Amino acid sequence: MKPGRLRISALLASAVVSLPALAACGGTDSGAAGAKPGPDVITFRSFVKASDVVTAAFNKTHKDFQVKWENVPSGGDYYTKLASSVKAGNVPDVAIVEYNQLPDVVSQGELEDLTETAGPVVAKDFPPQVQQLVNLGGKTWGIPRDVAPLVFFYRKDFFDKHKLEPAKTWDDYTNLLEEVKKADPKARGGIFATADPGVVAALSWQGGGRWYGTEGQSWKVTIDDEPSKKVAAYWNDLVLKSLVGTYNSTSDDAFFQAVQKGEVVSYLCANWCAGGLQSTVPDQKGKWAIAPMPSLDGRPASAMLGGSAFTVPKGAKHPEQALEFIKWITTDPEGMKAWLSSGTSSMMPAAPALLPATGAFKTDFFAGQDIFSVVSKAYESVPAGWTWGPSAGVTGTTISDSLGKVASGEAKLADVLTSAQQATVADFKSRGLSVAQ
Amino acid sequence: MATRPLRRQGRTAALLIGPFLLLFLTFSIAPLVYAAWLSLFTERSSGLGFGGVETFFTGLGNYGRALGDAAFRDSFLVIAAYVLLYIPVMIGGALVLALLLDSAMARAKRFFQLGLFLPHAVPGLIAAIIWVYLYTPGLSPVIDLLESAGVKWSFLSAGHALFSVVNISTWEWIGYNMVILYAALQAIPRDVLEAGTVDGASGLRIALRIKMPLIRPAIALNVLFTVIGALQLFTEPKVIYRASTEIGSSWSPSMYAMRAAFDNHDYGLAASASILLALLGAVLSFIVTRFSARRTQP
Repeated sequence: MKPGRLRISALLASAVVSLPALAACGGTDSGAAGAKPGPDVITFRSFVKASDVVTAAFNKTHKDFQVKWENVPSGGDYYTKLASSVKAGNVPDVAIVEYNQLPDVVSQGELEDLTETAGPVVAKDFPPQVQQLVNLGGKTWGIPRDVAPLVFFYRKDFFDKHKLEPAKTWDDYTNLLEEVKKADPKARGGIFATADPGVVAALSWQGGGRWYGTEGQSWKVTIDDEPSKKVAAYWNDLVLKSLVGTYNSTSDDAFFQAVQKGEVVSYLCANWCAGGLQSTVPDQKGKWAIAPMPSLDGRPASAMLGGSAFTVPKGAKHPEQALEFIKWITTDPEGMKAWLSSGTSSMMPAAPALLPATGAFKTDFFAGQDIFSVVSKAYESVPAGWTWGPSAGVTGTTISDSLGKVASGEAKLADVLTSAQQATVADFKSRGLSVAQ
Repeated sequence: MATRPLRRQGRTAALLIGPFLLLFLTFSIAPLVYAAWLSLFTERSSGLGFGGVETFFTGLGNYGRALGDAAFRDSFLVIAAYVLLYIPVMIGGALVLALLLDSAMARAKRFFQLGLFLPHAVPGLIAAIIWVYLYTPGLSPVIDLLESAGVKWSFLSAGHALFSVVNISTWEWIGYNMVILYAALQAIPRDVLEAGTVDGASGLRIALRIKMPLIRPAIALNVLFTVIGALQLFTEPKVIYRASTEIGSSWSPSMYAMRAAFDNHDYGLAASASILLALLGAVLSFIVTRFSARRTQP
């Protein structure tokens, strides 16, 4: 494998898909896999890893209907495409929607109400902190597939060599970052992602912040609440002291280069990072480990960075089969095994009963550590009470547009939260949503 | 008797104009009318917003919102800064290159003309992607080279993003503008230049005092076309946006409209912002046509 070439082509590909105009024009047949002729073929639109494997596994074991997978780019362009498909009346039968985007997608009227059919499944199989993410306005809009609790990824060899331990509290973490920098001036024990507002949200969530809430039929927006501002001030300090490295995101080329060179020896990320890490820097196999993330008081606490549900877009032609397929890939042990056996996806099932399926994921990269026991404990420690609001676009871009300025010291992260608060409330009001003061 | 050839002439004209008119109406006028229509409506929800959206007529409300949005106004300031940096560099560079090519001492004229024009043949999207690669720390051989020479330069942050965008545009457009200016230089009557030479003017003096004043209309036209083009600045910053911490999602007016439509589902706002942008472009185009009309009149 030539990593150089791979990176360039990845860059080219990411730049190309970043042009929504192109993405929106893409035909619906692009990247189809696992399709078979026959009258009952439903379409399944998803960008998560192993979507091809799970489709093939379903088609092998089910004869009454077949599934055709449409490969789509992830990120904001995906939701543009979904919105255009609904407007054009050309929707897939099953579509992935991330939790933080779901309120936005629902409020645009892009999904079928699944309260009758999927509601009982969600109530029975999933814990409250996840139910809250797919039950919006008293209705159920999708079935959760995975959750993405934050955990601490670290280079065990580096930590052992310098006698370092993963931090229990945020104060410990500051010390740890200083120790890492002392041990190797080029190395950093954490990163600040300048293009990923989701990280800021997750850290606020873990720290006790609640960005959105509802009071009756009104939204309560508190993006700059005290816990979130406290978290912001903490990270702002780490950035200004150059204790953490600055990268676009944890899927960025520059980030992986730094990992490869040993300039990033630990960082916070959701469990799904494990799959990306082991496939991008395979030669660091056996050197990584996972620990719970630090918290304010040392007691376990986590929050989610990502995670997704499967939904039925408005106007889908095969809603019944769609629901059967969704149930299989989210709540059936066989379906869950299919996701994880591919080796590329390190996702954590949202349904706790399916935890044993994670045994299908090989953990050689983590020297055989049972990473999913750490991840599932992190999942249990995610505070309930967090919901997302229908403003993924406005809130997200307001924050991510300013994170670069935070990194360069031109802006304060706490002030960025305040401007996100103002922009979000203004957006809600201009759309006619009711906002409680 | 004169009506028949006239009618035939009319038919020929219709035949010749037809294809253009059809495409123009379908792909320029129709979308424009549709955008103008869209710009008069807004989508509203109620309560928590999970009941879907309804469309309301809002008159010029979206225009008020666009003009009242600091992000939209700032995007025009970005364009102004871009133009102030870009025009002198690109048009000035194109002029110098054209004068050099036109000078008596130039060698391998065809080679340089083609070589300088070549970047223009690369689609803007592809060019931007390649430049992003050259701008990204850790990937870029240019940055490595600069660092080995002791220069620390960040292309995508620290206030350098505007320069980096101007750099891409210059690379793309300098050859094109040079060709136009060179053609204008070729049209200068040779006897004027010979007279200058006979009077003992140096090559530099001829270039500055004779050639430049004579092609001033061509230079002015290039400047105005470039300004109009700059209003539509989109591809380069949009591609760089992902890699840069400095370029925001509404950096240029076109990016603002894009974000309003596709990130925020605010099609009315996007349409009104686009119409405002188109109006500004139309005003500038009007100036250009008036300007060139006056130039061609004796």
